[in-house]
Amino acid sequence: MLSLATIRKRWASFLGTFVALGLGVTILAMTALVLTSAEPEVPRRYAGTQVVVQSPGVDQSDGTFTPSKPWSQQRTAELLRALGGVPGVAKAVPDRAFYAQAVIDGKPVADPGSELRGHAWSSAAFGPEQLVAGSAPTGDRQVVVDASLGLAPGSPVTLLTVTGPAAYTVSGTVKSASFYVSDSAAEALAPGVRVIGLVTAPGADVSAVAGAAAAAVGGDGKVLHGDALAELEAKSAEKTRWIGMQILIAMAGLTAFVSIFVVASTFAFAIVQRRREFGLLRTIGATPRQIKRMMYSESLAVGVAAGLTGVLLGALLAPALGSLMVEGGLEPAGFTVRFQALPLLGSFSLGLVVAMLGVWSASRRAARIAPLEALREATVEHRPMTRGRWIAGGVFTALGLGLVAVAADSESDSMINNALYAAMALIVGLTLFAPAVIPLIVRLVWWPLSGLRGATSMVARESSLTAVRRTASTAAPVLVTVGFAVLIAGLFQMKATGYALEETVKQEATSVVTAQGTPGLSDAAVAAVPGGASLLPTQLYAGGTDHVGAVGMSDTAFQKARTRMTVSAGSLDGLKGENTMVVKASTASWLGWTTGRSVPVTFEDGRSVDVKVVAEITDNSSTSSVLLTTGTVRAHDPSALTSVVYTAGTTSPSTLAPLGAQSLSTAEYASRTNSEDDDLVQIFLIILIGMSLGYTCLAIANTLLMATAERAADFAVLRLSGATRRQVLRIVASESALAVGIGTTLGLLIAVVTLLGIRSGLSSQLGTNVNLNLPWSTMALTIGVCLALALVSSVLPARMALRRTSARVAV
Amino acid sequence: MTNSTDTVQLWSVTKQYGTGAQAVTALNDVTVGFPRGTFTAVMGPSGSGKSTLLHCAAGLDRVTEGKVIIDDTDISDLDETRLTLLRRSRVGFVFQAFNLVSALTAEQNVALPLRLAGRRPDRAELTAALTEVGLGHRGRHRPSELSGGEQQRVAIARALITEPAVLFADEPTGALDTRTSHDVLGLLRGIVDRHQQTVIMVTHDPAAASYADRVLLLADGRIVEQLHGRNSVETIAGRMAALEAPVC
Repeated sequence: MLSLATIRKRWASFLGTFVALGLGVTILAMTALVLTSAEPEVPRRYAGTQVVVQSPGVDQSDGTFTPSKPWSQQRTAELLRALGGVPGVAKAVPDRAFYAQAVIDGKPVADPGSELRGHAWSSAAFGPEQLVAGSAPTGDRQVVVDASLGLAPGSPVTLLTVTGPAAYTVSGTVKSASFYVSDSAAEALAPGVRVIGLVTAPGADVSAVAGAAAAAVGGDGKVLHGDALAELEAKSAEKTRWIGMQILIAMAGLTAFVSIFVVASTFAFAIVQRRREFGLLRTIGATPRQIKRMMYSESLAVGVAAGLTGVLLGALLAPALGSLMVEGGLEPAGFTVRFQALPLLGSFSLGLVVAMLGVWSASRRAARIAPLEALREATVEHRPMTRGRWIAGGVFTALGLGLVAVAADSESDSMINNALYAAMALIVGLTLFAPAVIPLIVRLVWWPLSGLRGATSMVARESSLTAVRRTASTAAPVLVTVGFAVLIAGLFQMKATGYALEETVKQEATSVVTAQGTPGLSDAAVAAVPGGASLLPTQLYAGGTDHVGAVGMSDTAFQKARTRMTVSAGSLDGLKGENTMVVKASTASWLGWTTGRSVPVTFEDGRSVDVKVVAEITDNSSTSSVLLTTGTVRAHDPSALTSVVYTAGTTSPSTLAPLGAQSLSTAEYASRTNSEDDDLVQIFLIILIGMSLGYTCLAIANTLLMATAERAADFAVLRLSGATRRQVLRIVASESALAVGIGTTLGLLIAVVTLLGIRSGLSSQLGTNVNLNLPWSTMALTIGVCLALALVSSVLPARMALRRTSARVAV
Repeated sequence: MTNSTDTVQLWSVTKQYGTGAQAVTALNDVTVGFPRGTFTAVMGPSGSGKSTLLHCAAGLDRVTEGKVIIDDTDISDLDETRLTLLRRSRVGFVFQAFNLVSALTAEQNVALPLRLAGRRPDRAELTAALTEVGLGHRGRHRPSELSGGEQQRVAIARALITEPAVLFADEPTGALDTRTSHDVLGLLRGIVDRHQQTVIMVTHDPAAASYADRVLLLADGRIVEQLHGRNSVETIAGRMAALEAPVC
């Protein structure tokens, strides 16, 4: 009864909590729905296959999402024989996949995602794929294409593959975005096989077949059936989903944190205002436990209402977030939100937990209010730092600093989220220290102004000092927003200053040829650029699950790059012909690939070849771990596509367009890659900063509205002491500005400490210097918005309060 | 000055605030009893210890030395929760102001002590309590809709709903005008006469004290004089003036 009545009466102070919680649950429900919907699915190509053998997976800890280690031609043949003999298996079919794209009207047909779309016709059995028209491909120049391309059987079609455009004849059509060629043609185009599908005989026991297949394969592969088939998902889709997940997790984490923060500080502030009421209740017989229970039930009531609203809004908005994620390239195309009860229920419960956590410390404090408090008139706060507060503040600050170290040491992909967690702990620590720290900062911020003799500055300073709670409540959200905004923007502005390979290769180049509408450049496109310096990336598999990225460099590219390289052993002259490599020092010591040795390396075609290490270069010399000649890469990786060609000459666009390539000036190219990076960064920044700014608005407005309404009496006294209305408003404005100043100072402190920690970590990880640029524009914008908000939400209610009191106060 | 049958007994009660050189003795070895069914006014200049006496006698504040017995229970040994439970069942309070929870109606305010004790009050009981203070028809109003005198009456009704052994009143008329004060004090007097209610009231107003059966005069933490029986406003005012006069 009392709780509900209190909420009805004090709705203004619960409004902030309601909105903060409601917003929090909305975002949580939205992200939870999107997160749970983003589960891997069995690719449609394999829909009709119940047992699949996948080649051995490799180490994923480097976050590059490298596919499994392919089998060689010979090994594939052995496995096919062994698997074909397994009882219940009608046929073992290798999935030979390669890059293929149709060129129609002189342009490659854009391909959503960069998956390999070319396959051998025998693998059509996986679907199973039905011919819509025509017949299966035979010979080297026949292809079955997607019916939606509008090509009838018998018509000619140009296919773009690794080597370049080639003329094919359509033999038939299917209803999927794949290109099927004959098995022998696929064998020539595809790298090593990674998947063998087992077509089971009718009525065969799937798990028995899987067990027998596992025995036949031994350690050289993994047998998948049932739900595990989802592991067949392309690594590229997995990567997209993973990045999207990181952002969603950051969003959800930030939301949960900021809502607890806002709810807790709102409740803490409400306690101060309701001190007398609690004292009265204690006097007439409420036990401390009853006071606590009362606060919890108030919080619960608000939590339930906010939770229900949030879940509803979250469910309504989730599809919008989903399509935003797809558009931003953060979820694979074709992603849709599935509505499930569990994530919604979870978000709702989490909202309640947040409400309970938020009220926890406030209720403890309320329960300690003595009955006599009801009799005391003054609302001077006497909240010295308790011992528990010192300890908790110390623990959280130490935890935060420890997390900074963890973040500095983590992989770049998870670094941002780890840095956010570190900042969260630091924020909690500093907030706990607030009663001790704020008076210090008030004096510090005010010191330059101490020459001012005006009453405004005196009253504003003193009332900020006396009402530490109010000052802290206004400063806290500013602290959170400035801290997070500067931290996130600063993280993205950190750039390695070591020589990126591309930087060195582009010397003297005036134009750049890159892919357009294709995942990379074919050999024909590279050949069309005379005297170009090109880079051909591939993947090398060392022993066990180790693997390393490598780049095949054209002769021109290498001659340019070597001028900036520092050799620590051997000679760069040795990098020529096939099966030679230059290795970066850290990679050499990790894999034992020291100069002069010939080491066994497995390539994308699954074959293992001895490659000679001709030289070691310092880590500063190159961002790529292993350098090869383009010849070596092409000999062992029939599917590698060139990423970029730098040239001093020009190539006509009409030559490049049918090859899926375009020529850009170096300046254009630089701005384009930058802006592509920036786009993602911008989305991320806008989401996170927008969210914390939203909460700041809420928290600041809430605190100041609550406080200003209660201060009408103070204002009246000031007016009676001869202050003009303008002077009172100036005092209120100064107080708000002071609180924003305190929040900004502390927020910057947290952001800079975290950024410095991460910079030193990055520098030692990359072995190069890392620049730390503070994001001045983001900083100015954030602080400006906070200040404007604080001023508006304190001066406006104060003006209204003054107008009301002036009616009563005869001046 | 006290008897073991008295409803509230203070035995050699001393109350000090602070420690060491800064210690202030607010009550100095006070022994006094408040018999059942009597109306006592506690008076004295500011700083004399009259409020401290009330807080200690009511168990709102802990004594430094001595013991306090309320309705046969020695409250010195009770922990915070037990003390709260005793206050809830045996003690009623009326303060100068801020007596009511502003979120609740008059009726809900009166019902509060019962609800805190886990009892569901019945309607008739609440109406009777409000009628007793002359507000039977205003149960649905919130404090902001009631006058100062009406608020104090609701506070009295709430204090009496648990049928306490003793009702403490701390300057109950301090914020009221003369006519309204008269009504509220008459109400208290009536409760003592009709229901044998024990009332202890702190006041600085001789007019208020004139309603009491006995006036205790405090100075410097000691009881310096007791005026027995109903006294006139003039008598009380005279004694007070003598106490407040500067000592030469």
